[in-house]
Amino acid sequence: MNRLLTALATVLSGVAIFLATRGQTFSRVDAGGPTLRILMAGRGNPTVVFEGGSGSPLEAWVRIQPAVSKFARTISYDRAGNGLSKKGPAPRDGRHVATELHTALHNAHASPPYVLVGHSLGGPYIRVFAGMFPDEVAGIVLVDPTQEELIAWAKARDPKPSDEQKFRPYDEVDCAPATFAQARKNPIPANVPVVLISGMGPRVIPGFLTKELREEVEKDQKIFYPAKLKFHKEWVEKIDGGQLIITKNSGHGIPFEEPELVIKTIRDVVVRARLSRLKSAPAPKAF
Amino acid sequence: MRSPVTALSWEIWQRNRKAVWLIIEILLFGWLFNLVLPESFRATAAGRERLLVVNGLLTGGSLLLVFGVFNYTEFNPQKEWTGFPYRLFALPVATWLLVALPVSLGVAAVELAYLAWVKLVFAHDNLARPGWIAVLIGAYMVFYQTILWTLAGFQTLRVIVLGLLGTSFVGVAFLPLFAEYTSSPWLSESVLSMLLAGLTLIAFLAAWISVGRQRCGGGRRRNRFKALIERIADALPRRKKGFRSPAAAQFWFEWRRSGLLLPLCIGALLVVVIGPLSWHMRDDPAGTLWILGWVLAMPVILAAPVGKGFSKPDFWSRDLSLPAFVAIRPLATGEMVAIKMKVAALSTAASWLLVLALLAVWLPLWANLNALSMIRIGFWMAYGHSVYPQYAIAALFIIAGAFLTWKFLVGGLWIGLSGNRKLFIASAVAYCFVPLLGLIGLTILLNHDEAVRGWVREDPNRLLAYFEWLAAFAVIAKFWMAARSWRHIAAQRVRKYLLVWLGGTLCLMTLAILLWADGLLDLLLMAVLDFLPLDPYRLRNLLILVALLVIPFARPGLAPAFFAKNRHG
Repeated sequence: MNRLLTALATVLSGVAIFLATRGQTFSRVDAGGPTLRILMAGRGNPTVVFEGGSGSPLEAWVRIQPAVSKFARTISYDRAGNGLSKKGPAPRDGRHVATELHTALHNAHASPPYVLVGHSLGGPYIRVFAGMFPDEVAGIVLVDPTQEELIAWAKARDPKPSDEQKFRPYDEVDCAPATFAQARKNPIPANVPVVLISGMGPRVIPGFLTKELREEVEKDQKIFYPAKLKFHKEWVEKIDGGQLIITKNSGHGIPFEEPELVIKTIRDVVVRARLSRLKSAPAPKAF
Repeated sequence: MRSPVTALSWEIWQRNRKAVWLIIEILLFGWLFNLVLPESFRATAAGRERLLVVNGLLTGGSLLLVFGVFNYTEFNPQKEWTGFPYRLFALPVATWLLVALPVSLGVAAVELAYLAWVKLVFAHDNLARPGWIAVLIGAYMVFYQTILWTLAGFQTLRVIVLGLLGTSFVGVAFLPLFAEYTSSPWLSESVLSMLLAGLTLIAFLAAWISVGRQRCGGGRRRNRFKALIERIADALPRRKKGFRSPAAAQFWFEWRRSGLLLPLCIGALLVVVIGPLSWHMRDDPAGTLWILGWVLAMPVILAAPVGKGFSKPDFWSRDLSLPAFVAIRPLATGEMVAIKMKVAALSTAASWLLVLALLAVWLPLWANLNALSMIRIGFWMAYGHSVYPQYAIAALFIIAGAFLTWKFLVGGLWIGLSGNRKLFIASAVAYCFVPLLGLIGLTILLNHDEAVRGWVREDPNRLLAYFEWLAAFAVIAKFWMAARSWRHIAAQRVRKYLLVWLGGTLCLMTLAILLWADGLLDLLLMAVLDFLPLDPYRLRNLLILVALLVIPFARPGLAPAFFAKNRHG
């Protein structure tokens, strides 16, 4: 045997076994019908629950969950019909999603309070959840959420024939109007910190974009983004103690483009939730 | 033998009896397999479909063997071609009979084999139009032999024509289906069969005339293309300077004999196929990605078959023993192996330079970059709006491709240089069939087996974990074998190769990490290739393990010892 290569073989054998044994452990939890795939990590109250955008699996939080799980218990999951979760009953509206999430959290022994983090369409879902289970929510972080007013505005600007596509009750995007209505009906609980991050960027359009794509981005920045900001602002102003963070470093994909901003915001909300719990806890008895 | 016809028939049998027995064995296996298969298997649609795939593969394989048996050609050293056996022209047999015998035997054999499959194996399945298929197979046999004999001097053209004809026959096979939708009588089976019979007769006459001309000393003497190349080569300035060392002379010799081939093939493909295709698809964004993928994969894909020839002591010789011309060189065996590896490196570099030259012209000038831009945006977002990681990925991708190409050129040196023909053939068969069968098997399993598909769909990370363990064991085996295979090689050479390996592997690992992009790769695979969600960390670890496997280590260590045995007997 060559001694140098024997040493290398020993080291690399260890490395190979180490790499082969590393991986995340996912759980399957009954959500009162569908079985959902969830990923739990970290310790500490409150539990941070991640709700992804339309059709996105829990892997969409890969840049955020590991960092947040260093200071809190975290749960990300595949909504029924997304990622590796089984399909759930129709219609796939906010109430169904919130009820399934609530059951799944209970069955996963993740006790409240929860800090809810929702991206895109996940925003209206967590608003419905917060309205349905107000006592269990300690904070809300909305990451460039889909705003119902913005959708209505966009539809009014560019009306499409209504018979273009048949309504599919199993599709969460088709059910989005119902979700928006439910989100509007369910008010955000009082005294809960709410932060909305609105993506207005990126400021610089990359040079490698083709002319068609560049025009599309420029149109978004000129017309769509100001409207989005307006509706986000109006919504936050209605919330007591609501906070709006505007970022010009990323667009809609904030969890991927600017994960550190989301992590910092979640940390702030978790700290505020912990402080408010301490304040509301009964004072220790004097000896 | 009582007659020349019996003698010729006997000769065909004698020469191909192993293949004939193999055909019979495959047929028997298929028959017994279908016989012992429980009826419940056929009861389900999925079961029937799976059985049809297996039976179809077996039938196709056995019919291909029949065509192999009736590849009635021999190499003619005078004409430098492989055509109708020249030695038979001395027999006291008329030319038409010389031609008709293999043709009629071939048609009879292929029809017999097909009939056996239909009656013994496909008895349960209601095969659509078995008579029409029989006509097509018989006709193709006649065309096949005609092309083999008439285009004897055009090796490449012959393969292309045979391929085109095969593809056309597949198209013709479907023509009667259209008869149901049109009132045209020309598409009916009987009319098409008559037409085909007429064409077959013409093909036979063409074969007869061509073989007759060859018998009278006619036919093409030399490949014109080859002659043209030789004339150009003669006109080019020749090396007049002496070599600095025996190693330099050997390097030059290896480069001329085997190193040039890969860049030449790639250059030809880029100019003849990829260039025009890229212009034709210049408005199609998805086409850009498709062409880009093929252009980047081309050197690696071509290096696999070229590498088999490159691994031999002489690329163009069928003999695996070392030619005396090379064996007497004043060079140590290890040095000769090192020279082959250096030539492979130069061949790889030249091939990739050609690829880069095409990319440098095509991408900025006429490619539609919309789809590529969408992928770039993903990486641009993932890397804090910086384009530099993309440039690094592109550069490392080219380096990784070059290493992979080089691996395919030098990976089999130990087998090719060993001079062991059986080992060489076995490795070539394994090389071709194991990945092909693995791919077919996996595709059939994933497409047709509900249980397997369900298992993968439920949690693809289990499959990923198996791949990870497989890669981990391969890494362990590779490096322990390397520690053993390099034990007799000089320490200085070990250190040199280790440095090359380390440099290359570090590049590949960096590429793996950059491509993984903190989980972005996972989302890209889902969005672009419709993958199921994978554990990003397992995916990263698998990429790292694969990076450790790419550059060969254990096998190059074996090459000098195997080559020495071949050289010194």
